[in-house]
Amino acid sequence: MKHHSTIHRSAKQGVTLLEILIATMILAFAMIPIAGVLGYGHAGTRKDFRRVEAIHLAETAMNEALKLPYAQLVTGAHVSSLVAGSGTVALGTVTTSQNNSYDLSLQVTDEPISFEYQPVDLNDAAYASSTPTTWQFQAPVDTGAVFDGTNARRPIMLKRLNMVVRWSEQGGVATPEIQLLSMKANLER
Amino acid sequence: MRRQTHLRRGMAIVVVMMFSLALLILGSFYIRRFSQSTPINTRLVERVQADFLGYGVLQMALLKFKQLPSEFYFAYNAIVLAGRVITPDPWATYRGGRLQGAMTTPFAATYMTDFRVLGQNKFNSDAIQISVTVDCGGVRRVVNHTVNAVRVRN
Repeated sequence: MKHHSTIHRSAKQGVTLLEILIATMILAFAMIPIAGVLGYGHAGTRKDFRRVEAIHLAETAMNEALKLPYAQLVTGAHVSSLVAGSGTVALGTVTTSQNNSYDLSLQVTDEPISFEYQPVDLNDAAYASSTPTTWQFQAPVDTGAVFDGTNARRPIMLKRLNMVVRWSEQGGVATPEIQLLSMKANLER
Repeated sequence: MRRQTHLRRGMAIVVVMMFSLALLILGSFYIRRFSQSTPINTRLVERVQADFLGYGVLQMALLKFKQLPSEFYFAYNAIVLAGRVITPDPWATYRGGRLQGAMTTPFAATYMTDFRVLGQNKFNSDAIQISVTVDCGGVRRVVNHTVNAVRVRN
């Protein structure tokens, strides 16, 4: 009877050891996909971070460009820093403290524009400047305020700013570029 | 001795199950956080694009007001203040043209411009509020700007 009890206890201790071995194997197998997911998630977070950083750089550069006076915004493609009398816009290859590299460029183009409005017939016999009910509005025209640069009386008064930021992910994979668009009017004239 | 053996029975598998469960919870939280981060960043691009486009349209509106102030007041006084109904509507014409529209390149967006006159007749001056509303990929942004105008007779 004593001999039987000893065998039974020894068998139970063996099962516990087996359980530990099986459990360790399960844990090891469970860790493989989890480690993969964590790695994938980390790569995704880094990718998102670079995207946010690219947006921030483009936003900063565009704000700097818009701060410049109209006359200092030189028309053309700017692929390196734009140095103007009132400040410098950091363009070209920009490397951040995280050692990420971005390529910023700015395209400044003249934007011809004409404004549409309906003139009031000031020669109308019933016209009274202080009585809006007497005003005779004419058909819409867009020839009275044209700024297309065709002559000195029609100068270009608006510039279009197109900021582009490009960068590459690890392994040299190019990402879709981000573009920002804005305009600057000559309000000093 | 027998009682101690009885207590230990099955404990290893329970501990491992708890570890596995904790790891699964950790993993699922991580995946959820990652899956939510990308759409937020997409919105961020559109928000910035809408803000700069709104500023650009605002520049056009300021230029138009600077070049055509009389036409602005004619249209505003007749339609908004006097309540006249005219076809075509000169107030809509003034706010239209290049001040509202849609674009597809370099990104898709729609925009519209509105003007409000906050008059100060006593001082013969106005505060004119220009509001540009931009919709860029479902992100709606409003850019407001107020200019002070002094009325002078030519």
